[in-house]
Amino acid sequence: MLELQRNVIFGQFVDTGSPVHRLDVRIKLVATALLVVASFLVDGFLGFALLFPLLVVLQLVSRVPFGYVARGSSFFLFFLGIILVFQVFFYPGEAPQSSVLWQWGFLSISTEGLRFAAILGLRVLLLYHTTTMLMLTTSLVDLTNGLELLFGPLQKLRVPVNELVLVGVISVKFVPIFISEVERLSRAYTARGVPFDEGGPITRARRLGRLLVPVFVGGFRRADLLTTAMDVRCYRGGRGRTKLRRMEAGLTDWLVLLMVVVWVLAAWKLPGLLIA
Amino acid sequence: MASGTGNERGSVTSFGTRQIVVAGVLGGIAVFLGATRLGFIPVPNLAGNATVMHVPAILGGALEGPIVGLLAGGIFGVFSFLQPEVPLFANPIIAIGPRLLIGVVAWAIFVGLRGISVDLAAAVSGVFGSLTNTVGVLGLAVVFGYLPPAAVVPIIPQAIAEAVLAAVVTVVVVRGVLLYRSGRTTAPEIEPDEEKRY
Repeated sequence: MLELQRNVIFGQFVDTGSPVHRLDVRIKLVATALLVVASFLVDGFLGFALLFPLLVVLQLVSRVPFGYVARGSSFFLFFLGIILVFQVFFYPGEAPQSSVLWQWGFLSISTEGLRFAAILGLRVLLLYHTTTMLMLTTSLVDLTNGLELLFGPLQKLRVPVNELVLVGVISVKFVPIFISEVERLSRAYTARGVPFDEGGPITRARRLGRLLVPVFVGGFRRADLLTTAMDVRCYRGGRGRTKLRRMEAGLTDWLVLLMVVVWVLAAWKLPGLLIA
Repeated sequence: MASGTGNERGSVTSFGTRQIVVAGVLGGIAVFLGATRLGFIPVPNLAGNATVMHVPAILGGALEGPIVGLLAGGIFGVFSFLQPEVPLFANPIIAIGPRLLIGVVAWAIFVGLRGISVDLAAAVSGVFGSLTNTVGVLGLAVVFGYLPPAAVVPIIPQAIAEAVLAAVVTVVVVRGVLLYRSGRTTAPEIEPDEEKRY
């Protein structure tokens, strides 16, 4: 049996009413972007050691159960682990002979390779956790409004901001629909004796086709329906639309942003200063 | 209502309700395939798994034009950047750049070959859309120093498998969508109304 719903947390919103949830969305988006940038700038264990307490604080204050996040990420972490092992074996840089711990043909384990893989792993975890927490603590409506407001100035350059945000919103909204559709499909197949969780890669790939084709054709059919529905309601982009509730960033919001900025700067610059 | 192979309505670059919705839905399929891991066929190597997550972008390009292909590919790229299971996708240029091109390449090939045979056009655009993804991502990964050039060799069989898979799925789905849109999924009415015996 295919169990999908329980293991997917992408695009879910867990409302605990915490201070993180109540934060101004634009501030949340900017702070997330800062952390994403930080995941590139920080290039050492000390920097990440400084950043990870921020993630712990975020997790605790948001009151989203850690077990929930961990369960939803188990697949992700499992595959990340496998990839990192490969990353060690195929270290792309030049490792001096003295640091090679083990070698067999072109496969080798060196301290450089281990360090490289560990930093990559930390980078990915930081990126994954911040973006996942943004999704878990922000409703889709808020996310849409925030993105439209943040990128609003681009409309002057004739960038169709509202339309592009809507494309993203539709794709996130449709994920649960596809999940339930595929679950129903796979139950129908299972009832007729087609197992979905057995067999090697080739068998699995062939079975995948039986699920994919109905999903795609059904997707196009749903898209046609939604287009008609939007057209008859005279959708014409978001231009000139006003908002019932206007977002105002308060003092707390700005303080949170300041805290994130300082934290990121510290994680980026402090390790260098300490060593120098 | 039925709009054939897509581009008849407006110009190729028009960006109306239909393009927004189809790009969103196809992007949703890409995200769905990634989030549920259904779109991966585990083949352990440096590039992770063989994937079919790029197929929505190919289909968007082939059936709805370059803008939809570009956007569907963009959503696939953003998703793989935000959930970067394979560490090299933690770089937005690698994760998003090549993916934007998948649908555009697929569209150009599909439009070019459609006159000969729709099945052929779908298969070839599936293969080349898939190769755009593989070559773009691996090329940039080597350029940015995530992979040594030698590590690309073991990924080649996987790239071929992905291209074949994409070709097969594209042909079947293009057929399915065109069939559904042609309205022939219900019994055809061939006789003129006045000759019908009610």
